[in-house]
Amino acid sequence: MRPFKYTRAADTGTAMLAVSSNKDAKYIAGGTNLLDLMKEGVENPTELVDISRLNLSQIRTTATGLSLGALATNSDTANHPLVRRDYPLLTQAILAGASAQIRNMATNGGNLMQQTRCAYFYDIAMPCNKREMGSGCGALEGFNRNHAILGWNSNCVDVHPSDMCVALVALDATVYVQDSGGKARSIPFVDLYQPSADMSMSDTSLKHGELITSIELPKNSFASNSYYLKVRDRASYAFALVSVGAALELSGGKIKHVRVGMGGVAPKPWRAMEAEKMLIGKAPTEENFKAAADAEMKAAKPLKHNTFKIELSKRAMILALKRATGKA
Amino acid sequence: MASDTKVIGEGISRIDGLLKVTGAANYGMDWPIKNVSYAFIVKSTVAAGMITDIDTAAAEKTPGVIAVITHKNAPKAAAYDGMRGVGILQDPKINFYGQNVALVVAETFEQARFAARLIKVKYETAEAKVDFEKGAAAAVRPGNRNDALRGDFDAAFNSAEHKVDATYSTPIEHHHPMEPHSAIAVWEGENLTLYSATQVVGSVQRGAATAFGLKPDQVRVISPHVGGGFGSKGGAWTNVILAAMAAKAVNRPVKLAFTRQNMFNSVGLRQQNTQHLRVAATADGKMTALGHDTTQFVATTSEFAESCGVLSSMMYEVANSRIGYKTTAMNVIAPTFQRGPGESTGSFALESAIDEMAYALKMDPVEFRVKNEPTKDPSSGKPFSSRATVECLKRGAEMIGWKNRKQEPRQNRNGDNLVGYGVAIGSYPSRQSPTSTFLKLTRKGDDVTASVELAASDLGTGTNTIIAQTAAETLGLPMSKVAVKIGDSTLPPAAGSVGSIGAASFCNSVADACNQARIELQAKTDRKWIAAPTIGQLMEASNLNEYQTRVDARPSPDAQKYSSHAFNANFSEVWVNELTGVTRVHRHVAVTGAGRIMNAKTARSQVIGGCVWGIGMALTETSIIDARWGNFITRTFADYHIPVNLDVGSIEVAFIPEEDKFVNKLGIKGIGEVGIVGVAAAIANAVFNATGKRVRDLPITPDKLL
Amino acid sequence: MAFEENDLVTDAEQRMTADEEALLDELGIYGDSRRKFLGQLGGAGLGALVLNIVAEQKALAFNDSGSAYATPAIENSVTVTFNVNGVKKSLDLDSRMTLLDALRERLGLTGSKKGCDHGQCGACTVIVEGRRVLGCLTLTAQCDGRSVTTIEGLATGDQLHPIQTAFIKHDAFQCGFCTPGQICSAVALMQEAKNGDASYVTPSVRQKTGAMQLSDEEIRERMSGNLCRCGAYPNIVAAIREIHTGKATDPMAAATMEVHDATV
Repeated sequence: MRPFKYTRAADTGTAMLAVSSNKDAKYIAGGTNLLDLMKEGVENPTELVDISRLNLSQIRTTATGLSLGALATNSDTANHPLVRRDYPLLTQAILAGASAQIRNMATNGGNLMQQTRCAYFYDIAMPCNKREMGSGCGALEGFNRNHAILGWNSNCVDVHPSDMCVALVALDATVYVQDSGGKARSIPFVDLYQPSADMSMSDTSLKHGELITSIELPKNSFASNSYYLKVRDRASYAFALVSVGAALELSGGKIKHVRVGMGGVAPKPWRAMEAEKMLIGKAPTEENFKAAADAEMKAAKPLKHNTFKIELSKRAMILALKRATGKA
Repeated sequence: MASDTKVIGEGISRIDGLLKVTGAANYGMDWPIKNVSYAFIVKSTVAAGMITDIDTAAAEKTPGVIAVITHKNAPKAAAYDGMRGVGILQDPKINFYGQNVALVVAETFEQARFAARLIKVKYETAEAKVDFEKGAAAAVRPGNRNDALRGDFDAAFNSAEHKVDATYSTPIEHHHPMEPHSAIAVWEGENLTLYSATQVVGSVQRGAATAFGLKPDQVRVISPHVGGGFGSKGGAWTNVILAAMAAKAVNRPVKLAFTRQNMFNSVGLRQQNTQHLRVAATADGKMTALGHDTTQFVATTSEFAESCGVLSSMMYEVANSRIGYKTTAMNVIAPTFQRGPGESTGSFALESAIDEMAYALKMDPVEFRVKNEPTKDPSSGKPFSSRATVECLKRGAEMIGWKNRKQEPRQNRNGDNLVGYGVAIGSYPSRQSPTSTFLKLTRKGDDVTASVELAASDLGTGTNTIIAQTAAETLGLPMSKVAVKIGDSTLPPAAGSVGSIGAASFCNSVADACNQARIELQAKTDRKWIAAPTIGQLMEASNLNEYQTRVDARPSPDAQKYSSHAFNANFSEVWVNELTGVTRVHRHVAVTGAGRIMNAKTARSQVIGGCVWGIGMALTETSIIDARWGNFITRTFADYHIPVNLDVGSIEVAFIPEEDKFVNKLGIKGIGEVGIVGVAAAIANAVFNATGKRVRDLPITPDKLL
Repeated sequence: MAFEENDLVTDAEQRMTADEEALLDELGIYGDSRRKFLGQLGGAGLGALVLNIVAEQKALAFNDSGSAYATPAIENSVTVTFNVNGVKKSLDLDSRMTLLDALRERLGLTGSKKGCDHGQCGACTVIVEGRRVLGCLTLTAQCDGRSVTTIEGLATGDQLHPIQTAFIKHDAFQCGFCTPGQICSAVALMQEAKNGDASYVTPSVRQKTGAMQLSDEEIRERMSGNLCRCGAYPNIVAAIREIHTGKATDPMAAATMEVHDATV
């Protein structure tokens, strides 16, 4: 870990100014991913601006839904009474990730900004286009059991590691950011992850110095029919092989609205649009779930070691949909 | 009085427990050492070749750096043991990916870690042997090892009515004790003190002495608490030598710990194995042939590999058998002993094949095993000193509810899950090794206290507690009157806590010392006793306030007349999610016949630990080499999955009461190793019973059951 | 931190000899009134071994003085004033120094362990502002003004925390290296249960109720951030269950497991 200057920002303006004015500066809040990467030598900031005490941790209702402060911890978010009552998919997804200790530290904004857990990315002795464009993708021809089957290209086959983000993409969240000039903008969650052409370290469409201030969840009627299913190599404290967040609104024995998010399959939290299309207006039956899963996986392209993820994704989707609709 | 001191076997809480729950127990890196400096290791990024250049300039200029040590400037040290001596910076040769190539010593840990990143190493690479599949195809029988043949295997197998012919594979596994290997080295003139946790105090002392050309008594090893070892802390690895070397170079105490990432290529591993099993039997379930051929790798720098076929030589009555090995050398850190070395991986193959045979014969696998139970050790012809396999099977079957098992797979369900039951048996040899004990008795009036001292180690096995129990009972003193001193090389030499020899070696020696003290004290007085005198009365009779004695205990030569092993049976109930293929061990039962159990509580814990290791072996653990570079691509605890709490269901443990008069005086067989033997096979067999899928390559991850 | 009186594991009251009393006095470890403390140990209790080891550790420590934790020359120095186990501490330290390293290398609180240094094992778990966190992924600089409790701070005077006592009774460790982290984690877990916090295996998360009665499966999931390579998990669950439910159980009894399959 290279030496860095540590400052604690008194307010968001100071924080954004500090980071904006140093291209090697970074924000630190929970630090659970950043410090890990700094110890590995993957991240090498010269300055850390501590934003953990800024006033951005409220969780509150808005006219259109629920606003989650960027600095609310994952634990506080998962266990907030309004989240549990109205967005249980988010609660389950957060609680499926990491460990209680890490969820107590990690913040919502940090969860969105976390890096892939690809072993080739983490080991600076290995080639990785994300760390250094042109060095090659170690995983493409390497050990890629944990890697993507959807949405990848030959520059990078990583998967986004977050569970929380699978719920957020399914629930149509919006991300609110600000820059040091005081300019605020909002980004639909599905557009947040846009690995840039030059494969820089950032996966997101955020510019250097921009700060996530909150995440908003629109109102929905999914609370009584949702489920987050995570399949992994051990029972807990492991990243997903495949995860599925399913949320449905049923009416008259038919699926009125449906959202399906997937984790462990793509470089970004995956919205299973093809599956959703297949399900709208249909009865919530196992056959229809299967057809939806098949439809989503038509575009899947496996790598050498992860062909199983196609079948596993289908089955996980079927099981998540069954559990969301009380059929399992 | 007597009833207070009948403590051997009692489930007494560990006497070092208070230190461990309060954080007061000092492990290798916990000692407060004045003026200490911190070392950080740089490791090779090629698997074979030579270092052509190391640029240390930038690192040396970094604030806080005291020294950068490479093969160019390292103090001379002798490799003291072919297996564990690679990577002590004596030459530019690279033998495996992740070999130590440089060491930075700085004022603080942060400074050392950062400076280590700045070191640039250039290599001339050589072709590395890092692809096991490739190497296995050309593996050869090791020169020091003949095939073990009995009867005419080929004829019996070829002509058999019922056969199983299957190949099983187990991956590289890492020990990963929670305490990474470390050392704090302090030189005072030509005397070296090493604070370093080890399973074998004497081996670290000898290793360091040899490395630096010292007499053993110039090296003191202090290791009162060991944060797990499982075989990997059986000898001195490079952490010990590098810390001492660095301390010498900077003329200051040095603290050095391997990082968790370092642990993958610094302290050994369990090698990958392919095991070809051939079993033949008659229609009524009598085994007629058993073949067990293992292909495995060794390091280019060492010839060690575990003996996977050893159980096949002695678990079953079978007239015709062959046990063979082939090895291929690879550029990896040396394989070394890992919990149940040979028996654990070997039993996965053997006991899976036995299960396959029983299924092919439509026989209950418990019954099949009982039917092929030998009356003496088939490998040596010696009688067993005792063997509880059949009792273990019977008791375990009752405990797990074996009657609920269906012979055909996929017949038991619970919700989304297929439920299955599996069984496997196993064993591990019982041995006693030379161990000396110093006993000091102190009397104040009627009050006698004992100090028992030997260079044993306690890596969570309960050594401290069972030594105290042995001394208390043998001397007729309450536990609270016994002090135990272990984990220090200045104490009388003792066996290591390895290979399940610890309990038998330590406790027999301690009991001998206590008995000897009584005999010697009795000889000092001609007082006549109506009842057997207490140790205090004996001391008082000779007007002694202090008495000390020492024994050098050796195993009895008579023990060689018997084949002595601990035996067990494992039963597992697994639930497999039919859709996702996720397997959970819902219940697991382990029944063991291990002679005298010294402490029912710590013994139970050790067997539970063995079961958890077996769960890891069966379901989660694997280390993967990327053959393009020879590195472990599973290089952190996020990639190498040791089981977490939620992976472990209910574990029930029972011991078959056994009084073994032949194995050693106290009848102790040891339980650390046998606890894992058979566990993975029982789970894999249960997975077959649940799903109808026979998984022959571990671990059984969800993808293998889709 | 305040802990409830717990008498579940005090059945085997131990009495010390005058010698032991004297030795404890000499070592000055545990304060004056020790009977209750020793009584909590259950089973054999505090033998001469413990006293011996503590004495030995003190003797073996090469120049055991406060100056073992000297302040080296530091770049990017940050001054941190925080409360550690009820005592105010002020340190000038390298901005890179994690809370774990500050506790171990600067404050001599070596109970918290470095098992991986990357947030993947839980051995460094400590309690900051009442919540369990990982010392290895916390910059000390971020703890300015905070209150930190480590394994060394869980006992109240001469009384062990009930979880510590239960860990001894149920043999919830072997090598003991992960134990400080396990215990800190378990202590915080009890509060999380009181708060009604859900976990991934909570059958229904929608209703946030009051204090939760945790099943074994819940305890297992909530303790899954603390690896134990010796495999003491069933005993860890038994120890936590005993204190959580208030029902004393036989440490030798088979673990129970509720039928459960919410996971996958």
